[in-house]
Amino acid sequence: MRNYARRQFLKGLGTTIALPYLPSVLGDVGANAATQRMIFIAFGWGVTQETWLPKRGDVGPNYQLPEGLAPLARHKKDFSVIMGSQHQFNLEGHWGSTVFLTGANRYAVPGKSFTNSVSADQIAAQAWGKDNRYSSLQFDTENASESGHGPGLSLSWNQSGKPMAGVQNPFDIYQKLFGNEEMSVEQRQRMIRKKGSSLDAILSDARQLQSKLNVSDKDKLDEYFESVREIELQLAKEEAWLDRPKPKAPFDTPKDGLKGYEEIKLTYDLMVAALQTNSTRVITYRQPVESLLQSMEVGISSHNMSHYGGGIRREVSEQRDQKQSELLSYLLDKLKSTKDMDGRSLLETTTLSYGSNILHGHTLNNCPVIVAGNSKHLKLGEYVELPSGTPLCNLWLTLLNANGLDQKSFGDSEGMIDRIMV
Amino acid sequence: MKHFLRSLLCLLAAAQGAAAAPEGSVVIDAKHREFFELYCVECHNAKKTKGKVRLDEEAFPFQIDSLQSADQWQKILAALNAQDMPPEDELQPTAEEKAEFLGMLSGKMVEARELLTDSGGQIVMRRLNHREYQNTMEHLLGVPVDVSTLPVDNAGETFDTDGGALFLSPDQIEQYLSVAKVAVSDALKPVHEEEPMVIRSEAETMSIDRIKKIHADLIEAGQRAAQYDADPAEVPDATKYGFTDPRAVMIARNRYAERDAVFQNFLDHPLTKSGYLLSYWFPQRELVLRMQRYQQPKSIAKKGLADHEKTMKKAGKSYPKGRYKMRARVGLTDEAQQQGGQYFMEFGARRSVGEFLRIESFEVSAPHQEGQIVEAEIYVSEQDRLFAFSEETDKARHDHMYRLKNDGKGAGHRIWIDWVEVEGPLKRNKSRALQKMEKTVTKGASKEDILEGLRYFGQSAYRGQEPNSAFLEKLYTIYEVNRQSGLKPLEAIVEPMAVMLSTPSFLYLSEPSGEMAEKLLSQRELAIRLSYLLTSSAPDAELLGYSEMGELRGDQLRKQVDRLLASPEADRFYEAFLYQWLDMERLAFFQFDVKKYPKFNENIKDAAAQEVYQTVRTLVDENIGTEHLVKSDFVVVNALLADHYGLEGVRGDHFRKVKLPEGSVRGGLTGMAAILAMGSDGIHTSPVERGAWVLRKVLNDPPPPAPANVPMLSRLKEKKLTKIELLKLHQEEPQCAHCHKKMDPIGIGLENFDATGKWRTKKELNKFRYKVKAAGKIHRGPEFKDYLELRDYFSTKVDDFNLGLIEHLLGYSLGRKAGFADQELIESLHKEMKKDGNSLRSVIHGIVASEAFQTKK
Repeated sequence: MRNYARRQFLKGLGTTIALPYLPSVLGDVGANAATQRMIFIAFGWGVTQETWLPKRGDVGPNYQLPEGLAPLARHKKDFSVIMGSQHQFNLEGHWGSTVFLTGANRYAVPGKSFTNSVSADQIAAQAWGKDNRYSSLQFDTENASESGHGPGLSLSWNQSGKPMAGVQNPFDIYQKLFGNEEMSVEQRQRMIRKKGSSLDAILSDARQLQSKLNVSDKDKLDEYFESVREIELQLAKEEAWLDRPKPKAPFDTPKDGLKGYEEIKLTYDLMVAALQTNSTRVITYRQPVESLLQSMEVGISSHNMSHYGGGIRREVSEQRDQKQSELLSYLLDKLKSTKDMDGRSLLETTTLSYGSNILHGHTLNNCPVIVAGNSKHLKLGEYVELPSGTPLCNLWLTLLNANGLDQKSFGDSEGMIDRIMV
Repeated sequence: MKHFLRSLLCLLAAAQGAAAAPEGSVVIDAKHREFFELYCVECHNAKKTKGKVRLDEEAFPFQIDSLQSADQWQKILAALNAQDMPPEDELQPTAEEKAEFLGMLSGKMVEARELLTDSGGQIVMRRLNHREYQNTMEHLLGVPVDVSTLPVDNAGETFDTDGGALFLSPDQIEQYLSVAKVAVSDALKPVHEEEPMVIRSEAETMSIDRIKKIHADLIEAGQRAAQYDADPAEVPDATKYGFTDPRAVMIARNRYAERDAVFQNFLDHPLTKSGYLLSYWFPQRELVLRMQRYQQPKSIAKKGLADHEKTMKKAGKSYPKGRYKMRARVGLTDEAQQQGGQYFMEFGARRSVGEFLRIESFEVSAPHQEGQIVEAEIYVSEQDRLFAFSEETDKARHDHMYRLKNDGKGAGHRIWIDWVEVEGPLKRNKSRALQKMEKTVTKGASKEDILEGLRYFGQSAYRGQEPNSAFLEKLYTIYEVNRQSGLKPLEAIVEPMAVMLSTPSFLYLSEPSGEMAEKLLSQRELAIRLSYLLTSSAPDAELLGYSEMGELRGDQLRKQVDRLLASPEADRFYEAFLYQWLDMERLAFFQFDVKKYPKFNENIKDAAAQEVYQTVRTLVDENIGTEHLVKSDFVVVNALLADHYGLEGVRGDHFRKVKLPEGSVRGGLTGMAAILAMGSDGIHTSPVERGAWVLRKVLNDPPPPAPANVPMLSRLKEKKLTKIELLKLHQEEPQCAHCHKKMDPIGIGLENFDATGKWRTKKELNKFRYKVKAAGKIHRGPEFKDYLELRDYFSTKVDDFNLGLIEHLLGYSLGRKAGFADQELIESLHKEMKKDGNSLRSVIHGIVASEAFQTKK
């Protein structure tokens, strides 16, 4: 595995070749010119404030790229660094991702110690999802809380604020996107029908039980009904997609069991592949930090690193920034060089946001965020300082609207951030 | 929490009986007005409302009674912590004033959150958590169930028995369906009527041919490399010698130099003629036991097959899925006997190269001349077909430490394996429901018969509840469709049964109460709650039997509690409760530094966790007081841990009570390796973590959560500081001081324990060795000169410890956080407990007999 990592690394990060537009790569329904896509990536424990953030006040397009972002130099015009925002309700020092895309107040409902609300990606998924095999995809990592992500099953929370499960292993994502379907259309049809009648039977038991429950248990059982409905929707989609085989994979089956640096890189490859094949238009990812450090063999835990102060922890924290920026740079390369069905670069049509609720340690009032892509609607290449205390939800609201999703408000938003719009 | 409860109780007498969130408030003492007047009100008053905030007496009540007021106070706390307020150019509070105010307010915020999130005693219907689902499925079907594909429970801050915190993700039902399908079809496979087969393989047959072959290749390549080196050409052509390039030559040369003697040493060893020797490094780390599948009879000419493989291969037989017994005869080599010391071997499963899942570890103590038998039970599944013995599993260890020992001959061999034996598949008992189902469908039954089989199975799956008939009709339809599509009856029934095991009636512990605000549990529901509490699984026939007769009360209920506590399944209760209560997941967080702590491997980490569970179990089994969790004259350990603690004369892998010598630092939670290792990061100790843990768990005085947005001490950026210096700095900053002055002295008092919990008198920092100074003073408490005195202080706090234990056990048992309304119950449980000599058994009985446990709210 180490050798593999070395080899992949030696191949070079900045040398991806533009993939030609091959119809064989694309299996799913066509996109149209208006096609927009969104990726949300969160990296748990934050960054090294001193070396990742541009200098205070050095705003605008001519800002000096800080050391922690140095690997992104060749993309400087393609992204903006946006600082100054926060989620006013989140005071949990270890929750880098739980409310990152929601901005919810965990205490919002009296008598409950935790509630969440819908995440920004799901607004997009709701609006666009019907045209894709998957209305959205959630990518995740093992033991995400060790990586500073906080409670949750992925970055996504559904319309009722319940956690949506993510796929934790890139190998499984590959199988989900491109896995072999050995069954014939008839067999699959039969399978779908069978699943349908299983659900039908299940509902009969569920309804009977529901009728006997008290109010709060009924409420709990609603999760179950929601889950059934979700599967029904998925089945309906599978049926509609029956005669359309899964897209051909743009690359061979990857190795199973990759961890850390290689795990993230492969997940990025799969993100690009999923968008390229139009399998989905919305992706979230809780990126690993703990296993990234393990793959860097630095010998300290990621939580410990995030309280860096000075010395070895600070060194590791900066190394982590380098690796993460290197990887992000790799992702931007790929998005740039990969064309969608209309022959446009994916970076043009994809809004990528990349950040954390945590700056470092337990600091939550200045979220590090990078926005890239969708240059038609977003002003990029700048360092932006928002007035201190700006709700991060203002940014989510802005990005949703920049994607043609007409939203008046989102979470605790107070308004749009006009200055990042074209 | 206890302080909060006391203060609340006075305020909340009026809220008695309210079903929804309690009304009431947390009051902030008016004496803190002065702080406000001095530092806040000047800018935030009726006339001058900076930031549209008013903090004057008229506008700002000193109490927290709603989400809004909680948010306001939270903002004040945050502004003070972040040093945003008072502004730099305004009058600043002294460090002391600020620390006191922050300490007070963060405490009040915790109280307020407790109050505002109190569910008023409501117990939300709970989905079976992972553990319970797995146990319940096995209980019902008699086969182990792989749940690794299900999303994690994500209970987070509460116990995994808290229904409110157990969500269901959108595709989870599909996952349940597919897990259940595999499990049901495994369960319906015919039970092997014949006696299980027993096949023994002499260990010398199992790997020796392979090792000889590798050695021969090594020598051959080494010779070619030597020829290449002797080639007079300036840059010889590597391909002439069968190498791709000069790099390959280098590899072959180095390998030969490094490994030849190690292989030779192994092959020359007299004990490899009659068995196999485990190694730390080459020739081979593991002795692998392959339980492959063979479809067809195959010739067995190929060398290197173990006897058991030959037998199966020749017959073209597969090992059927199922439980097996693995036995091996092992012993210590002469070298090990001469060296003395203790030796351990591991046995585990392998799914892929390099992955090793430990199943069992054994102490090997018999000389090879006598031999000893080790035995483990394994489950052979679709994925798990490879098993292995090894002396240690941590790969990094071997490479670094044993490569060049002993004049290049490696680290030698300590453990010898004579033979390996596999017995199985072991017979399994099929439940009556399963047997009945099989009988019904195999004989080509009528619709009525099938429906009856499903009904009977359903009743068993639903823990005594009848499935409804419309539902059964639908299941029958699925069966029919399957039959028509050509499936055999036994195949066609799999899906309907799997559907049954994916319905809410199976997956949720439902206690229907309809319109009632609360109801007494039915006998059946009580049996279920009790069984899930003490065994994390469905009630057995005996318990259900008593519930059907309506006898689960009084003495019979006590008898049943005692019976379940005595069962091996009660281990699940101890593990689940203690793992979660004591935050033991931290134990798995860190990889311990191999060079610094070569012996603290996964094996000993497991044993350390077991010590915690087994100690508590021993207290309950033998009815010994819980004060022994604070300070004790005995430990409950096995040989591995005794070795770690430097206790002599403990042999073997089972846990047992061991009397401690006078003045021992062991005995009590704070002397246990698991607890101490959790208070480290795998390299260094963390006095802060340890101190906070003791406050939370031992003294039941949890510090408020670490505040967000405290500015980092930037002036320290470039400095290298010792841990103690760092801690002192914490205490100088008021934002940190109000908690750290409580945590840090305790953590420092534990500094004589290294990161793995071993006792030390010196510690290392930046290559220097310092004497450990563990003396200190408890905040607003006594001084102590060392750990023993610190522990004596803990043992004056046994009542506090017990209150914390009761509160959390109650939360685990009820499936909801213990709230303000439970205060009376907690106190009466404590009273009974004390009367019975701090008996935890008494608490368990008390909880089960309580109204809270027997009521659905």
